[in-house]
Amino acid sequence: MEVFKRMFTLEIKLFVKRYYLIIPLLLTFFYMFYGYYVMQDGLDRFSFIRTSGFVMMVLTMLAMCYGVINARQEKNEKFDELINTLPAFWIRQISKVFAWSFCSFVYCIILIMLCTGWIANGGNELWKYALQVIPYICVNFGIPMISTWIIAYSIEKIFKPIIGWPLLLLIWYVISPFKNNLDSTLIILSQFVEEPHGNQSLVHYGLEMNMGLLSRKLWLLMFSMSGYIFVNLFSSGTTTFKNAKAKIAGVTAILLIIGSVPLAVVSSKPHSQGVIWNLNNRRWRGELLEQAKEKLESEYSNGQMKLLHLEIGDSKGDLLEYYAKINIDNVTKDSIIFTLYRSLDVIDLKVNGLEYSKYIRDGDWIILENNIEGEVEIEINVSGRLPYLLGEVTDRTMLLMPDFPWYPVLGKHKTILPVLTDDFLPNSLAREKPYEIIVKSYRGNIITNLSCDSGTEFNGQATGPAVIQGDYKSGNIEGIHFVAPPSIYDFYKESINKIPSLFIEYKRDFKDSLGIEESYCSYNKYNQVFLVNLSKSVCINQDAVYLNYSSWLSASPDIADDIRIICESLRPIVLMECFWRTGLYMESSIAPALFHTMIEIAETGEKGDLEEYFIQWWEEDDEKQIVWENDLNDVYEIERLIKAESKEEISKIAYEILRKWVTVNNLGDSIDSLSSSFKSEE
Amino acid sequence: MRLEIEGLSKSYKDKKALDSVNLFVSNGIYGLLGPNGAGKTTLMRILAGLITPDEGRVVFDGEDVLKNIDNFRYKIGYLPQEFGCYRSISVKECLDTIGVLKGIDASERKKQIEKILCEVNLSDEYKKKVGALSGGMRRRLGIAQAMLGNPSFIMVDEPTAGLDPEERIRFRGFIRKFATNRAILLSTHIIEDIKNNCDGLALINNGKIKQFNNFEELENMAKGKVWKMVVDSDDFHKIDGKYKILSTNTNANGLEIRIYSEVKPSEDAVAVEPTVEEGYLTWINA
Repeated sequence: MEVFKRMFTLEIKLFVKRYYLIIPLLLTFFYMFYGYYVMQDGLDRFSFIRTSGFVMMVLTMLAMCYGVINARQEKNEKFDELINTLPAFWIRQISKVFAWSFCSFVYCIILIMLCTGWIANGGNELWKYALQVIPYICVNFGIPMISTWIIAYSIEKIFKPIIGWPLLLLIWYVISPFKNNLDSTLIILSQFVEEPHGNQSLVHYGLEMNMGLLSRKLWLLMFSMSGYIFVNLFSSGTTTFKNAKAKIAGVTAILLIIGSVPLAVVSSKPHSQGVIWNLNNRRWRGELLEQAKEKLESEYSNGQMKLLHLEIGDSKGDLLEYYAKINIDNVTKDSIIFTLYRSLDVIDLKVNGLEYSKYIRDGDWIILENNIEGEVEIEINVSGRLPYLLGEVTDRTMLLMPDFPWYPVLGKHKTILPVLTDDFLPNSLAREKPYEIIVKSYRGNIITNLSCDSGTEFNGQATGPAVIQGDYKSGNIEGIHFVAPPSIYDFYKESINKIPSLFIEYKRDFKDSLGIEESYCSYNKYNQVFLVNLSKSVCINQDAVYLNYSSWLSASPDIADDIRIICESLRPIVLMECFWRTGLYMESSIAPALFHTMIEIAETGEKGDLEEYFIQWWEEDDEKQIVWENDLNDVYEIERLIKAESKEEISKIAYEILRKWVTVNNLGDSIDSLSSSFKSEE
Repeated sequence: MRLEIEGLSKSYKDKKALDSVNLFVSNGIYGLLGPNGAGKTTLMRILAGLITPDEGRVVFDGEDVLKNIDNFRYKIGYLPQEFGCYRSISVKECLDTIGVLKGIDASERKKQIEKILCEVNLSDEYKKKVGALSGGMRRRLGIAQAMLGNPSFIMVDEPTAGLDPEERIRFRGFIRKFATNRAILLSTHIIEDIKNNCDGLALINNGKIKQFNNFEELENMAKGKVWKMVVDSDDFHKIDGKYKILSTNTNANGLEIRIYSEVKPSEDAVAVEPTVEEGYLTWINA
């Protein structure tokens, strides 16, 4: 122990005397402090750490430099030959690694304290952030610093600089984050933080830490340790192979290599939530397109929703489990059908308190034979996983939208709509009148569209429940329930009321342009604004506006102007949300695809590349096309538009098409409106 | 203390650095003399456990050293040809660190360091950084560290190379002082280092070794082969090249030269008693 203590102290002393290496280490603190200070308004509380991957690259470079210097110092001072003849060779080598590990640890501790301090910013949630920052910094900064030191030391000890230094540079490059977007073989080797450049979808996720990330750092550490042992075995003289300690060291090195293999396998699998989502999207996309092409004979509904009581279970990872109690009234003696997305399984079902197993699970529907009139109570236990494109459920986040059937939606509906041949969009199923909803969460604190307060239990009236979980802040600002990741929240909170008023203005102008009645899209006041991790840009449901926060990350000092610019870019999607997607179900593939384009054509009177696009689409293989009956009429209209020459005529036809799409799709007295609007045009 | 080396061989690629070396060392100073590249350092490094021989064994007090090099390390002191320590630490720290590595306990270490520093005349320099020491002082620090832990066998590789005459003489004095009750194997290619200083001698050349019990034995190697004659300065060039001239000395009669020759070089030449150097040259050229 005394040998260890002495050598450890000596190594620390030698490190402290290398001011030329300590200064860059200290400069990284300064950089991070300065960077955070300058950019704190524009960055999420974790983004600064997450996007500081290049600081990690500097640190590993410094660790490599120190490893090289440490290996050279004995050689340069002509101390190696003597010291290798002395006893306690292995203790000395171990103490070297410990000394550098201690230095790295001290660096990480300081960084953790600074980062947690910055993030918590004097708040009372210090521990909440510290628990994320501590493992993140230790694993992503600490372990690679130790591994790269060991690698550099070993290489310097065994190779001449002419071979060793380029080799080190190559290793540094290979383990750098440049590789992340290349193929999976190289991802295995990438030892830095998963996505040091930052993933815009992870702002609400917090700092990532999981077994994959940990094993990615550990296998390199174990691998480098085994290399270190082998190098020391060779450099200490072949005589040592014969002694017991050397044999133990050799066996340890081999075990480290063997142990690192399963870790390398684990680490080779994607484990960053951002990457997992991308892969999930890729995996599901084709299947969802196929689902979008499925034909729905007719919509059907029996009864009216009275109460939905949801209890979200404490399942782990991306598994969603909940208990739902549904009270329906005005039920007739006919089948009751619920729409529940097909990837979610019904575990058990009760009707009026009695087990009911005769239900039919057909695609997205649950069909129950019913002989009761009046009021029915149905209890369902549901379990399953959702594609990320349709609903986000992770170990620490959730985003479940009210318009998608992740919960049992009364009636038989189509869940996914096709958008021409190559896209789809979820159908909005939150079209009923608002009903009583109770949501209880056993998965930690959530935010819903039912109350302004976050917690675990909510109730209120809505057309469907929205469940949001993650690093979000929520509050009531001048009557608007505003939810966003903390930094975005703080940035926009003063001007958040501008978003609903701009959207209302867009709607009003659009109605005026189309000459349609006020009854269309009746919500003219938005009381809730959610800046969340939405898979599309905008979703509007009842009085709530859901926006994808990634469009709101890069803001300029002029917040009002910023909001106006972003909202303007979202205008066509907002209009489609308000006037088309939330309408009645239509078997239409062209309308969702060309809605934005048609607005632009109507407003400018210019066709743009519509003709080329249309011909190209029309000439595609029949198999690829999705053409519903309704689309044929649209095809005719669009051909008429293509043939039009003057701007006025183009604009007029475009508005006519839009009006038809909007009015045919409208809830309520759509037929009357359609005929009256055409008459007024004539 | 008895150290026996039996049939030790070591080759580097095609070159035989040691060829069936046999050597016996007990208490006292043993000189290992040989030209550069003879195999001295290879032998030292094998004994220090830095390299493994191809064959042969080393027995120290009845124990096979190569089978348990870790135990042997506690019993030896080693001063390599080029000795240094971290420049930024002090003399005392350097010795203390080496003392710790040798497993000497704290109180004993303190006593030993003070004593040894005094013996090598570095008492006043104990706070000095190693990087600030002169070449001679550093070498003294080297012998001091080799002495730590009272090893019974000390190996000193080319200890006087690069030292000025005064330091060299002083160094020889230290070696003699420390030779009581222990064996010191002193490797050198400078005959002065071992002449009149060693209790035993071994010559090494091309990996082969020959041990001599005393210096007379080495001198006798050249007996009858060293001749003295006086020649004119002008005739010197006629002899040079024809015979191996060992030394020259100008006196009143002309140029007195000593020649190495198997046969009498001339009528005027007289056979003389050979010196250690002449014995060494004879063995090297044999």
